[in-house]
Amino acid sequence: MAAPAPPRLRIGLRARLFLVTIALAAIPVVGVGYVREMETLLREQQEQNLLAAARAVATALNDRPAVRRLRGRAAAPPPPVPAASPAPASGSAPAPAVEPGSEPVPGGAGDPAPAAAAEAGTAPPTPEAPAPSRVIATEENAVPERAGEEIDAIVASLNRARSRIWVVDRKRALLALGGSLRGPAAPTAAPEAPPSAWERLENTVLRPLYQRLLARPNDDFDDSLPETVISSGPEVDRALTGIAGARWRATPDNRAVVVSAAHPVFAGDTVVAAVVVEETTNAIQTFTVRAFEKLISATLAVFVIVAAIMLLFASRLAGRVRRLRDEAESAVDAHGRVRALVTASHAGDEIGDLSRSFSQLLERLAQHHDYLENMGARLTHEFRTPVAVVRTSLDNLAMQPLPAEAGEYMRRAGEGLDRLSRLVTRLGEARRLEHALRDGERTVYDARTVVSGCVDGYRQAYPQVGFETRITAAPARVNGSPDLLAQALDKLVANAVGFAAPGTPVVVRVQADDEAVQVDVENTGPPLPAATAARAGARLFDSMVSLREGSADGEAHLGLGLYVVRLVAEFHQGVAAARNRDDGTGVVVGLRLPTA
Amino acid sequence: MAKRIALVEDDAAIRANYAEAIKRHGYDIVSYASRPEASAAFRVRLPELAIIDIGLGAEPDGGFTLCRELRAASATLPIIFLTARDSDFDIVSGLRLGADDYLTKDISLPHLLARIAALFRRADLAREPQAAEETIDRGNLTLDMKRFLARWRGREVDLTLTEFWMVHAMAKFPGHVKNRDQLMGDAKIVVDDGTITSHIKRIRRKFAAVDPGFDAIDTVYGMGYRWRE
Repeated sequence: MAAPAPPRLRIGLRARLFLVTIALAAIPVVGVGYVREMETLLREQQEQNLLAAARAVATALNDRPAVRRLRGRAAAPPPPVPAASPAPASGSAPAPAVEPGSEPVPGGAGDPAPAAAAEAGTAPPTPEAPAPSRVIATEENAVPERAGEEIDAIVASLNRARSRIWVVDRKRALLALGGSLRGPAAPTAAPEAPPSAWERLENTVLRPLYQRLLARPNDDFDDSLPETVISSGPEVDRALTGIAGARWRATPDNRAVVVSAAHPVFAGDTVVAAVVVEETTNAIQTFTVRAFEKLISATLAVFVIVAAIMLLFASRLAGRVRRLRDEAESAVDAHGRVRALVTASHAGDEIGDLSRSFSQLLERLAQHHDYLENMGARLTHEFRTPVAVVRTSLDNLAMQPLPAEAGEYMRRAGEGLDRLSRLVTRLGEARRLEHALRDGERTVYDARTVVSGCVDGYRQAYPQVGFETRITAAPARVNGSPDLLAQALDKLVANAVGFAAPGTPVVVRVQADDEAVQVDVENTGPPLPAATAARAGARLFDSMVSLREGSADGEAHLGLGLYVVRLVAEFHQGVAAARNRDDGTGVVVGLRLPTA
Repeated sequence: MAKRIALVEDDAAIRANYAEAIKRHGYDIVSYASRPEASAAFRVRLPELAIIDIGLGAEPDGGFTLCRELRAASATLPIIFLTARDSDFDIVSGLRLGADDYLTKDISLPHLLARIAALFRRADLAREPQAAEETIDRGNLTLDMKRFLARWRGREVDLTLTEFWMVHAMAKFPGHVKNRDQLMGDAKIVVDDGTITSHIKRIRRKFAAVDPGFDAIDTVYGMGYRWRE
């Protein structure tokens, strides 16, 4: 049962929950929509307000004597098309100079000034544009001039903050101009209470960010009134035909947006002029930007708080899961032995449940494992009594006078009993060894002495097998028990002899370097099953695992020998390993013990 | 008068088999199936030798309790543990409680009878003044073959019968390697190699207790042990 490979891309719980917080981005999106809606509403409102203001001014102007005089003037000619009919009918003034459409001067508002100057005969080409409010179109003589003055006065009286009002007659001549698109200089902010931490943060971190992201409207825009605006504004055209209207345009330098509302001025039934009220949208813009700023600040704050909470939560969660994982991993060692039980958590949530079921699982596993490990010892114990019954019975029988032929049966029964007895003894051997290892004494000894001594013994014990030794000249000192190493070597050699092809030697090798002493026993013979080599290689050293297919020697193989080897290796803080020879002609089983 | 042996064993078949064999060898045998039964009988009259199983019916350590009681009643009474348990822990516990020998149940009856005879001999001779000596002297080691007593540099080493026989097997021919099977045969036991190793370890420890510099038992790895003179 292979464990599924972990995914290549690992996204931790924390990262996941952090991604979830991105859902908070919906807040500003909704907020932006809301602010935009608000802005539209405010713009409409402003338009309406301006129209109302224009209507108010127009109403104030309606049927004023000054306006009526305009009517007298304007009665004869038809409403002129600005650019097409340049010359007014009764004009002593130099027409070309005053015709607005013919002279597209960039500083439109300053345009009338040179015209006035030209009329006066002196022509000082003043580069600076004079203040627009001072300028009055004077292409007519006294009459319009006086009309202009009167209108001017009315306009001035109706002036509104931050708005500009101008009046044009049917010939698009500017009759009056009042107010300014710029508001009065903002009063310097009163010294406030020392800024709070949040305000400081806002000022130092957020403001520069906002300034980068959001163009805050300022009063530093070109508030000139270009001729083109006066002459070609569609709202003016419409107003001059009697219909009030509004228009949005940008200032010449594109720094601000201006809303202008135009309303006709009537003398009787005739439209004689148009009043235009203009305002920038700066107020709305300011409001919008501030709303955005607040939105961003609030969102950021919420995001930071939520992200922090999520992170905290996820860290705790991930920490618990990690702890559980670590405990679970360390609970079972490489041989599947349950070492320590996961401490069951008391938490009432799913992770607590998981921890508790892990704990139960491991407990059951530990019990089962214990059962298996004790099986050998228990079997020994349980078998011993019936074996004793048989043995004592046979012994008693042997003391009786028996018929001659009974002797042979007695002998056979005795042999069988001896085998059974050996089997029972061996079953308990690993267990006893485990006990012995638990309080085993350690000494530092040279593995070479033990191995060479053992091999001398094996030469006598297995006269039919040749033994080759390749023992290093370097000292091979290890920390452990020489008796145990000899015991392990017994098992390895017994195994190797059992598997060795007839006539081939068993090679016993000791190598040593600074880190470890390697003791190998090598035999020519059938290799470990290739398919299971990797897994069985490790499992071979477990209790009661045997890869022998059958026993030719009549001895039972319980699969305890290599388990003993493993226990001895572990006692020496080393490892036991089995592998096939590189050329597949045999098997090498060995111990790797750290140098003392 | 026949020697009186008490057998405490909970398995009826084994009890009967042992009892019959022992009786056949001329001993007087009384057998008990449980600790309370045996305890009650021992309070009335002590046997001259006791063979005790450790696990007695419902009492897994009933034999140990019994051994303690017997040892309290008599310091010299020979006690043999005869049990299915063979862990070092049980062996050490049993011997520490004052048992004279610890045998596993797969011992054969002749081996058991030989031990009983030896223990009786030792007990009898211990009561008598030094009689005709039958000893083996190997340098610092003196083995009293009648009383089964071992002395090292004149001081007595408290060996069990099994241990004594092992020492004897090695010391009889100093310098000769005795392999484990030979030691088992001489000690009249059938155990595995690991148990022999534990026995040797215990013997060394007992000698070391009277002489910390003791190193007369050599381990010849892969072959066995030998006595060095």
